[in-house]
Amino acid sequence: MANLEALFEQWLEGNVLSDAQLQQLENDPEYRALMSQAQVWQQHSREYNTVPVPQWDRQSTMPQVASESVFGVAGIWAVAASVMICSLVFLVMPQQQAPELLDQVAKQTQLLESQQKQIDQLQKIITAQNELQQQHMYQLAKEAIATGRVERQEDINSLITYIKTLRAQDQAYLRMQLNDLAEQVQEQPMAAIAKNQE
Amino acid sequence: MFFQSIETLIAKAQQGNKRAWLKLVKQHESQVYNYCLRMLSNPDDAMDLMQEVFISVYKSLPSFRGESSFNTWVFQIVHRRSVEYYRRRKHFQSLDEVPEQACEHSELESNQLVQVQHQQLTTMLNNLPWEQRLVVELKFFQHCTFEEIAEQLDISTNTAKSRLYSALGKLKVHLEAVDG
Repeated sequence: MANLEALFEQWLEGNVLSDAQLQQLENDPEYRALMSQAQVWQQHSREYNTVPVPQWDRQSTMPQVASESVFGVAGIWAVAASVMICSLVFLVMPQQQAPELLDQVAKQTQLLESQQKQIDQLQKIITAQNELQQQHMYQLAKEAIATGRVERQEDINSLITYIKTLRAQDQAYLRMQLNDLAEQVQEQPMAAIAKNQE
Repeated sequence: MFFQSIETLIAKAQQGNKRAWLKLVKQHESQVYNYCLRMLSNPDDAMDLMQEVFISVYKSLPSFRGESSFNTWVFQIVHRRSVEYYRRRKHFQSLDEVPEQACEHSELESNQLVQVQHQQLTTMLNNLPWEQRLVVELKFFQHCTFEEIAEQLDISTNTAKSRLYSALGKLKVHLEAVDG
């Protein structure tokens, strides 16, 4: 039985079995059934027609990343352009014009360098601006929380004031009732007052 | 367009190169989508899962060291994600209750035979518990060895074998029921 199991495993793993080994498996009703069921799956796998992937947004698989710096790319291009111009000047232009052209190239390079500096400065400004914006957002959030807190405090204060007023009114009313009772008692003749006698 | 090896594409994508990443996605999307489709039997769910898988792969890309092939690594993520997706979806409805859906793709509509085959396969797969379905997928569609299956699913080789044999047994019952 263990032998058959090992053979079946080998067959499943795609190893080639001898005719005798295959016969051995097919002679066993349990393994014959398992083989035929495995063959059904294998047939489905072979005949499976790959379903084309519908149109979808592949970029959505990339979580938001900081956008590539346009200025950085421009800087690289600027340097590359200056190198190309220099090589062209040395390779193509005649020797007489060389000094003039060299001057021009030098000017061009200076111009490119100054542009690169400007780009760097702009990048710094943008970074500073972003930081500032973040700070402002933080301040705004803090203020919103503080305002909420103050409003809650004011609400609680007004509630306490209201309760205090109600209590004062109740006390005044009770005082008046007690005074009335005291006056009634005072006005009654002494004979009408009950005497507790045993 | 120059030919770029997968290693180059991976290295570039790891450095944040968008085009390299999109190329990698294009190279693997069909395999992943069809896997998801077989496992979930629903094109919309398959699409959702595929998207989740690629987001996961993108996030984990910096940690890919090339110890296994990229394909194996991607499919490890696919299996993990599919199990999570299945568990999440299970809260809402049992897979047995999901109506069989005909594939709506226009190309397939023109081919009745292919559609019938897909439906048969969907029915057979839906008939299996999730764990067995995974093993069947890996064995017969991804052509993995039992050791690879065990490694990918983080189970023992014996468990992988017993799951496959149970799945084969279930198919016998199913075929007998179909034949009447």
